[in-house]
Formats: sequence, C-alpha cells, structure tokens
Amino acid sequence: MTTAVIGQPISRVDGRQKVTGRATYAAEFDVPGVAYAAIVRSTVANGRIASIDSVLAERASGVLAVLTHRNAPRLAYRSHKALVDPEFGERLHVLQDDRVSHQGQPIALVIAATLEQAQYAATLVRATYGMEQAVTDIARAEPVRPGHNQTDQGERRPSEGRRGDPEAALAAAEVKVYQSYVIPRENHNPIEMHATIAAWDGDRLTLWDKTQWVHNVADEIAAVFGIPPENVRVISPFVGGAFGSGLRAWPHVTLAALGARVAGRPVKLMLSRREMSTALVTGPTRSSASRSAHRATGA
Amino acid sequence: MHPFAVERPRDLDAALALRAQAGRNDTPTEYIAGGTDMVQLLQEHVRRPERLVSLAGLLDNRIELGPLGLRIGAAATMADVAAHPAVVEQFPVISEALLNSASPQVRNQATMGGNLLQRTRCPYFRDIGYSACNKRVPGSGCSAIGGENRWHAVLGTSDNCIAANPSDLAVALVALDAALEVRSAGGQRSLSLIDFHRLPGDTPHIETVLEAGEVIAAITVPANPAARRSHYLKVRGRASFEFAIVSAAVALDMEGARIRQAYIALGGVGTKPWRVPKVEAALAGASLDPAALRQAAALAAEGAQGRGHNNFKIELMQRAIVRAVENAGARA
Amino acid sequence: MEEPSSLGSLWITDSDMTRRELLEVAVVTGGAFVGGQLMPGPEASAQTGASPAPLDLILRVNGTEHRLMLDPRTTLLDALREHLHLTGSKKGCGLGQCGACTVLMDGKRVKSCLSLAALAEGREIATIEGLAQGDQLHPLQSAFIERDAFQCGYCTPGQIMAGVACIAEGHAGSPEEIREWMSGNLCRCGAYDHIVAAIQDAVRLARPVRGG
Repeated sequence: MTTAVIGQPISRVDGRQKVTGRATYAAEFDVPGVAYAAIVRSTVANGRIASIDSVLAERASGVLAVLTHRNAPRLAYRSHKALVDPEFGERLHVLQDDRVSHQGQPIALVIAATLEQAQYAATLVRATYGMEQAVTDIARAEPVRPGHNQTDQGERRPSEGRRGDPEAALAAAEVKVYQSYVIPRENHNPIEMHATIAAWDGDRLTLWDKTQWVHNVADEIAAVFGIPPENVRVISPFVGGAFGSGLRAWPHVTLAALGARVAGRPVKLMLSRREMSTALVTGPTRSSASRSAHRATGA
Repeated sequence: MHPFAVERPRDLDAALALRAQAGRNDTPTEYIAGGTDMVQLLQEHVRRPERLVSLAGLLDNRIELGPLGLRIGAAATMADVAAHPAVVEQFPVISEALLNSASPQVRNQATMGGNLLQRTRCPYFRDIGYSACNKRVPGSGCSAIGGENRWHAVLGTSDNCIAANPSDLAVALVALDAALEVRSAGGQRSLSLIDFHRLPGDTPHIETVLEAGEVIAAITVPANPAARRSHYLKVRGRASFEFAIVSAAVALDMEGARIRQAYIALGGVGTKPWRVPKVEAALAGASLDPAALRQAAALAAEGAQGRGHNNFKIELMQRAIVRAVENAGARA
Repeated sequence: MEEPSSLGSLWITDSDMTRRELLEVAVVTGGAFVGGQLMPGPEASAQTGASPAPLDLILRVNGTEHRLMLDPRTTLLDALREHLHLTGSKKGCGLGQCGACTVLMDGKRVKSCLSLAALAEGREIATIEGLAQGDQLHPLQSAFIERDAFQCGYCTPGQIMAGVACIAEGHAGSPEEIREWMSGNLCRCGAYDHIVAAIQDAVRLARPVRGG
C-alpha cells in the first residue's frame, strides 16, 4: 500500500480555483444569449388555481414569455424513480394542471431579458385559488400503510421486510422498549442557492445545474420531456454545498428547460434564498416508531 | 425590485428639492445613502419608490468633538464613528452600540443618519406574502398580534402594531439626550432624538417626525461627564451579527460609590428607543448594590405588555438594566 | 400556528386574519377567494410594468474601467456576475446576511449585494479576481489552501476579501478578535476553525520578525 498520498497532508486539487474565484458554479457559466427566469409560487398550501392572470407580466418590459398551466407545453412525465426518491407518491408535474399541492408550488414562470425584469414581472402575476384543507401536522396525516404497495407509477413494491419472528420475541420479552420519534422538517440551505442554466440544440439539452448527481438529473429530465437520456448532458463541476439537496432533480430544473424550449434561447433560473424554503424538500417531517424485545440484562 | 430611476444630484439643495415634491413615508421618491437597509427592502418589494435620490457625497461626514459635545455628520459611517478616538474614550456607549450592530461590511457602508431611519425587522413587515401589516399597508391589520411575536415590543405598542425599533445606535443616543439637525429645502431645524421616532398608535406607517423632503444632516450629543462611564449591553441569541432581543444603554455620573445621575435607555423592547426616567430617578443617590438596582429596574416594567411569545422580555429587560449599570459602574 | 376556523372542518394554516375572513366568505359563497395578492393596493408603476431607462455607467474593477448600460436596479454584485462575468464574488442570500458577496470599495470591505451599481461609479472596486498577482497568490489565498480553510468553496472568495480587510484594519490580533470581526461571513460547510487559522498565518507572514 502506498503512503505517497494516503495519510499525507494533501492540499485540495481544486484549491487554487476556489481561492481565486475561478471555480465555476451552476449559475456562473457564460452561456451566450441567456435569458433569465423567475418563478411565481402559490401562496396557498392546498387546492386549485381558480384563475391566473399574467397579462401585466406579459406586457412588462423585457418579458419574453409567461408560462402557466394554461399555456405551458404538455410534458411527457414518463415514470422515473431513482434510489433516493420515496417509494410512494409521484413527483410534481409542474405547470401541467391547476392543482396546488404545497405552499410555494410553482404556478407560473416568467422569462425575461434581464434578471431584474424577470423578478419584477413575476410580482405582476395574479392568482386566485379555491382553497382546500391542508394537513401540515404529521399527527393528523394519513399514514401510508404497508398494504398500499402499489405506487402511483404502477410499480409493485414489497410491502414490508421481515426476518425471524418479531412477534414471538416480543411476547417472550422480559422487557419491551417502545420508542417513537418525530423529526421536524429540515432545510439544508446550502450557501449556494440552487440554479440551472438550460440550453436546447434541437432535441438535445445541456444543463448547467447545481446537482450532486448528474446522471439522475439527466435521467429525470429525459423522462419528463420524453427524450432519450443520452440527449441530456448535465454539467456540474462545482457545487456550493448541497448536503443531500442536490440528489434529486427539483421542479425548477424542469422549469429552466421548459423556459428555454419556449423562449428559443438559453435560460438561467436561480432560486432566491427565500425560495429555498419551499422549492425543495430535503428532510420532510417524519415520524418513526420502534419496538424492541430485551432480556432484563439489556441484551 | 420594482422599477425606479436613480438621481445623483450634485448638491444637497437639488436633492432636497427632488424629495420635497413627494409626500410622507414610502412615497414614490426616496433618499438612499449607504443603502444597506433600503436595498434589502427593495429586493423584497417592501419599498417600491419610483425614484431614488442618492445622498452620496452631499452630507457632512465629519466627527467632531467640541466644548459643547459631539457633532457627527449624518453621512459618517458606522465604522468610522465606532473607531473614532473621541467617541471611544468619551462616549463609549455609542462605540459599543455601533460595534454590536450588523457586520463589519455593513458598518463600512451604512451611515449614521440611515441607521436611525432603518425599518423594523418584524418578519411580517418584511414579507409581503403577509397581507396584514398596518405599517406596510395601513388598515390591513397586524399579523404579529396573535402570531409569532418573540421579536416584538412590549413597550409603546398599540393594537395596530407591536414592531420593535431595531437600532442600537438610537438607544445609545437617546440615553445621552442626543439631538438631530434636520435640513429641508426651506431651512433647518433641531429636535431631540427622543422626539424623533413616533409611537405606532393608529398610524404605524408614520415612523418619524421627518417631513417630506427633510433629511438628517447631523447628530449632536451634548457634553456629559456621565458619558465617559457608559456601556451598551446587547442580549441576543447569537454572539454577533444579530438584532437585540433586549438591550440597555447606560451612562452614569458617579460620586465615589454612589450614582449621582443615571442615563438609561432600552432597545429591543420598545416601538421606539425607550428612555426610562423612573428608573433613573430611583437610582439617583443609589449605590451599586444589586438589590437597589433590581428594585429600581423594576420600574421599567410599568406599562409593559407582553403579546404571548415576548413576555419574557419584561423580566429580561430589568435584568439587562441591572447588568448594564453594573458594567458601567465598573468602568474606571 | 394552526387553529380551527369557526366553520369546523376547515383548517387555517397561517394566522393572517384577513385571509381567515376571506376564507369564511368563500366557504359561504362556495366560490374562489382572492389569494396570492403579492402587491395589495394600487400602484401606478405596477400597471405600466415599464423598466426605467438604463444608466450609462463606468465601473472601475480591479484597476480596469468597464462601460456598462445597466438597469438602475442592478446591484453591484449582479453587475459583476451577470454583466462583467466576474463570478468570483458570490450570491449566497442577496440580502447582506451571508457575506459571500464581499468586495472592497475604496479599500473597505462591503457587501456588494447591498450596493447599487449606479452608486458604485467613481469608486475603486476590488474583487477576488484581482487579488492574486498573475500566478502569485496573495498570502491569505495560499494560507487558505495550506490550512484547508474551505470545503465547497462558495463562501471562500468573500471570506478572503473580508479577511484581507480584517487584517488591514488591525482586527486580527487573536482568534477571538478574528471571529468577531469575521462574523459577517458565513460558512455553511463549517470551515471556521481553519479560516481563523489561515488568517492568523497571513498575519504572521505580514509581520516582520523581531530580533533578526
């Protein structure tokens, strides 16, 4: 075994780039002709969009397009699940229908020539909602029982894992320990906000994306758009912290690509710090319970 | 940000004339100096002027000590004032208040005048997603009353607004009976800083007595032997770079071990910087005995009203007074 | 934060009283209610949506003058990143809270996300890109590498610009002083201990050795 590298104090190979400001993060690639996108997000947590008015936004200076569920191109949303995706449920089909499933859900996308124009025009989109009951307390949520073992994507998953005879062990236990935990929602808030630059060349898409897993982004976006995965190239040499938030392709990646498709030019979409609270969920509120059987000795 | 034009007038008279055309607070034309609060508010769409008039280079930034006291040009930066030898030696509470504010970068940009005009940190005020905020939208209600109000005021509140004034500097200056020189196109006037910030009452959107077109030109702090023995105590969750939960500015005129006259103001607890004359009166002639201090400090709680999450401030501010007086008293 | 409305089965998920009233109206009438109002109240400029005329500006960055036509709303940070493609200064919050945007203006450290580009005209702006002299790194840059004072690197340019100023100000005399005077710069990866060590190294390098 060599000790030339292992155990030696080695400086980071990208150190020079990082201390000189030459490490390039997702929003920093100089893509010619880029336009800027800003997302309009729902202010209710559950319900339907009753009306959405983008006329003022469309007329604002520099605006190239405003997409809502009314006029956004239909996306294929072929089934795709990566190892990090939850077993049950379906990803958000962004701008494809009038449903609102969480507060801060994208309900419109504004594309404009400059960052300032896009951000301002986004404030001009008006929506009204038919609000429905929102459950935000895990104690009141319907649990997903092992019996519900068919996902929305039609996959069948094993309902539970078993080994040995836990019921018998508990019945014979001298001591039983029951534990339950609720872990509140976590927001990783890396110092670099998520961002994507999308550029189409015919049916080929290049994404400069803040991601920890370029292949997952390529597979997911290919499935969303109904194009072969080899048509999607994802570039992410430097990530400004992610801590797990960059493992999945969040809706803003789709929106950047959608915006670029509609605008006919590359689109840069950067999330604001405020948006980082609702644009992606890295650790949802979760509860877990365990029961264990012990001898009096603790074994 | 909403669209705006930027004017960079060459002299103060031109700037004053531009601003005078507009009405009171949050009008289409606003001044910008250091911009450290204004730009945040613009980014979050809380302020939506159509025109910004830059005061850069137009106002006095000198810091001068004379026989009558301290005169600080409104354009002096927080950093320069905090580091000025005369301020550090003779008015340490001002230096301490400034050094406990914000971050080094912001202190390099932010002006003394702008600091006194900064807006509340109430999260409902700063987030336009909340439609009920009487300060931002008169008549729309107050989200903090009945909402999350840990950060909010317990003194000087009304049923329309409970937002705390966030300036540390203002607390120190109010304790020292500072005054302001205010200029307008029509002339100049002086006023006490304690009269400058308004209680919310029925009009929380009107925060100061500045008339349209007026600008703070200078801050004066009267010479006061007590100012040398002064201290700013800031209580907060983080050790740095956070606004006050509770703060106290104290200056003591002492004779031996006895307090001849105390000057005390509170921050983090009032809708404006809160002078506590009853506490001061109770301390006149008192020693630094903790029990005596505690008894005097209790008078600060008169009229205090907790709103649910900030009730602890009523006890905490009394303790802050005691600790700040002890710290000031220990100064040589 | 949640409390049941007087109508029983509906939950209200925020404490906004205006919305609560509107919700009750909506339920009674069975219709949609007005939500998503980001900008309550009439605003003339909102109706026109017109951008202000661009400003013809000259920004002096790292000793070089650049002529730009900029929307007056453009921050100095966005002027650097989006218009001059000097992306070394970073946007970590856009509200002056993280320090990743720190640059020097006339030699003093400031937050470029809180500066309007229009008001930076006539000032000397120094960014991370101008710190090294060709291939020769600034001692603080070298110290950051030596001390492994970063992981993801996104806060690093801001830390270094703030660190250079911190040392020049004479505020790097002890670890405690460094921590206090660098508190305007956040590091989400938690490299603070190494950042303090790097700054101390750079201070030692700048100080002449006593006694020969």
